[in-house]
Amino acid sequence: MKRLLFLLMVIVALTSCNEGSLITTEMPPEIIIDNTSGVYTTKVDRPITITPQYKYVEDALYQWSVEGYDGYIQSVNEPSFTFTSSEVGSYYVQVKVTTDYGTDREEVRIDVVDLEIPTISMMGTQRDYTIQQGYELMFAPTVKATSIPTTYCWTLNGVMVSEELTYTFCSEELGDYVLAFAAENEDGRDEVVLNIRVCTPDQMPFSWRFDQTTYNYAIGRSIRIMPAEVVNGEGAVYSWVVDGVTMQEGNSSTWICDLAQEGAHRVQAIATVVKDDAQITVTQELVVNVCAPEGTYRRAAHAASSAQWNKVYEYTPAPGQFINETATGGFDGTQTTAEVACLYAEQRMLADNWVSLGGFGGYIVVGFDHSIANNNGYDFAVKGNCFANSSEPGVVWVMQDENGDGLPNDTWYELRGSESGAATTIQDYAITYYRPEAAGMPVQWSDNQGNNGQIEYLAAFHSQDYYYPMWVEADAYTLRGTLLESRCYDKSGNGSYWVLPEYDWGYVDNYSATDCNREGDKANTFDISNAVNYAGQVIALQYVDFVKVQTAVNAQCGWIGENSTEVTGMYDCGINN
Amino acid sequence: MKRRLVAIVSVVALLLCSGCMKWEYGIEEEFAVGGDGVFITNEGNFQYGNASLSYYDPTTMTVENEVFYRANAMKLGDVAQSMVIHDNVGWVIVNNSHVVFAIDLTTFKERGRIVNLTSPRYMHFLSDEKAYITQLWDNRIFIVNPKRYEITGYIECPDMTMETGSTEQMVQYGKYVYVNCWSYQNRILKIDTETDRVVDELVVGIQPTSLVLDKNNKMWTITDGGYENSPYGYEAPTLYCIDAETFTIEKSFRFRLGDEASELQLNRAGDMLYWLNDDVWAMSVDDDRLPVRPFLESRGTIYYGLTVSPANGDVYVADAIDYQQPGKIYRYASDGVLQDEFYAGIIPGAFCWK
Repeated sequence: MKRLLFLLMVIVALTSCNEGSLITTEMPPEIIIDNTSGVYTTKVDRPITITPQYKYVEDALYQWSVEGYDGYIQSVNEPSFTFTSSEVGSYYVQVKVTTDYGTDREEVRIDVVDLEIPTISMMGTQRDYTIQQGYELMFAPTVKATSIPTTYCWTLNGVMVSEELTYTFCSEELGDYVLAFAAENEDGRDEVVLNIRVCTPDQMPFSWRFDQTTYNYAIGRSIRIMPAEVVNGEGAVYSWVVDGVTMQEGNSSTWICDLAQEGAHRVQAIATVVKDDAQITVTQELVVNVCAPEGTYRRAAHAASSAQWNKVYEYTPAPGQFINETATGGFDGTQTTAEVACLYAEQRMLADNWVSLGGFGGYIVVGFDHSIANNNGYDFAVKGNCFANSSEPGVVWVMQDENGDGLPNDTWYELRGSESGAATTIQDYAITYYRPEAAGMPVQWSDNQGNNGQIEYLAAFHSQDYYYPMWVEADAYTLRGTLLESRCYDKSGNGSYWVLPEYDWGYVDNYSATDCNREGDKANTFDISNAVNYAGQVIALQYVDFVKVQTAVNAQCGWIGENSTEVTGMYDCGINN
Repeated sequence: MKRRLVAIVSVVALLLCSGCMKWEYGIEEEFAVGGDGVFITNEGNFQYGNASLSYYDPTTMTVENEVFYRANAMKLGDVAQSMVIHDNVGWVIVNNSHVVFAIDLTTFKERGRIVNLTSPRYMHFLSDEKAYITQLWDNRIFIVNPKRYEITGYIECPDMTMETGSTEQMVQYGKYVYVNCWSYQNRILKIDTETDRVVDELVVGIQPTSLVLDKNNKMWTITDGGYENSPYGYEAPTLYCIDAETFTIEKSFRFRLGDEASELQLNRAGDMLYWLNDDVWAMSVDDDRLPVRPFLESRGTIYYGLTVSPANGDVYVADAIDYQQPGKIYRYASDGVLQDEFYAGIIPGAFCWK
């Protein structure tokens, strides 16, 4: 037995020899792939070479083929193979090795992926800035995440000043500056150039802007008219002229309009400011329609009236993880206009599915086939999708069709909730969202409190290209409303478990013990008697025609993402059908 | 994303959610099904109480949906997670209703229920009078007496709190039961069934999703790797082969970062592995590397559940579609040829063969 074993060892030794890594023998060839996954990754137009190890391949014939690829195959009868493609995709590569003693085959896959060139997204498209000397101008761009290291570089007038992502510009020296931000990695580079002019206070340009130019209200009421934004208004004098008569003059840019004569009134809002020893006047032309008394256009419910909402007039969500999302959000890519977005919202709610309002300020405006009467107790209900420890409150606004044109273009009145008047509640909060520069990026925002941040892009859960509504044409849009303090917190302490406690009462999508039908349709119920005007004073509305729900919290709750109110439907509590 | 998101969301809600289920009653229907079919647990939408149970007969290629509700005139509850059969009784684990129902396999009528569970996930029988029920959001595995429908004890799991607890699927080798710890965990626990104590643990990758035992007494688990920006970490999913005797990792196969691997299954012979990773994949337990070509390609589907017929090796894959409408089941022969397709309930997630 031992003799036989020795003889076999001698035979093997005589018929085999090692030549480097190649072993020659009368054994059939063997391919050894050097990658345990069998999957290789390369970039578009970037060659990749696959070099397996082999055994028993003396005088071997190598054959390589690529499934689904019509391009030029570089390597034929070579032990290694180089592949390049200008098309993203997966390519199956077969290698076949044949010798006199047999054949071996292996298949690997080459995934060709896009280059990961960094993309910079600034807040909006503004590239020219004018600031007062000594004032700070902070830039917080986002750069699309890549799997390869990316470096940042800020230069001021050609001199590098920072390698951080954010940069704060400040100068006491008057003049023009060129600030540039570049992001670079091995795949490419992106750069944004900003022009900054530093001025004296007198040189700072004045502007003011209104969100609307026409106002409607029923006679006997008053409304507040105020600009959406005043820039560099220090020392400005504002005059409010109605039909040629000056009604108010002073340093307040806000006017309480209580015109009592029915009809259309021409209102001129005139701002006068002195800049560089020159007087500048900027006039805004507005129209105020004092409408017929409350009740004139009331559409009383009758036997055929439906309790359910009957039309979505506007759906303008803030950016969010469910916006544009096809897998669970119900979008299908055709929602590229405001009208189609409304149809989307209608179809969703008709199917008893939720409609997401996105982050703070996102809203939906819904109407009924009749006016909802202000009865005793709760008057209407709004369905959401709250549950214990998952409340994403939305503030409710109501409107009468004061001008009788059937459209929600009159005056909104907020319904008070448990947080109304609280020190932590901010009225007239405004937030501006900026369209990202590329797919797969968070949405940046800034607010009128001097803060900025972003709606995070949660690739692991919602991977649609953009969270910014597809049908919003502007590269930035501003949403205004009442901000509630966020209550969400990380109960686990390690980011794994976020809790969103409920608020006491008065909000949609809120697991309230007071007004939520917790065990049923998750609807919160509302009393029209809680309507208040611009000053927080109760305004006795006999009925309402339109209801607006608006996300009321600006918060990012870890992996859960932005706090966003969801609405599933609305109904009149006074009708039993 | 799919199961992970649903489960993680359920985690968020569980703290104060005990007893939130509200049963709805209807009219009872009589069933008398025979043959060897497969049950499908349809999770339904979290907090909507629309979980359901379907039953498919492969011979007649017919499906009966909502069989629990129709047989018992009572809704199944919120998030049907899994089902197991023992001694001709089906045990349906309803996660967010905190209950396990025992049902007759022919009539689908309820025979009993185990209640007061935290967030049950899977059930494993040790005998007619003893079973384990794993939990999400609890650091204990519940020991129950199925005959009396009672909780009889608990297995304390180390290095977990009520808020980070997660025990999932179980396999048994000798007197030991092994369980994968998934949500924000990275371990396989070894439990001595005689003492009902955890006697050992093995660290694997982030979030092992499932656990099976092959013909060679090798356990296989597949991690999902977490998710981007997860506080617990994010890495490429990995398929592990673990020797049940020595409780050591013998082989591991790493996927790519961003892959979403889950639902590891075995065929009856225990020699072929199947799993989901966008597509449906298959490989022999003896292979030395992962396949590069899927067994079944995704077709714009959201594959969510997977099983292999013990009778003929047919592969059943569940498509959750959009998590809102009833999901669809595709049945393929072992050579990948489509045999049948049918609709089940909302979010079909798990299968159980008679």
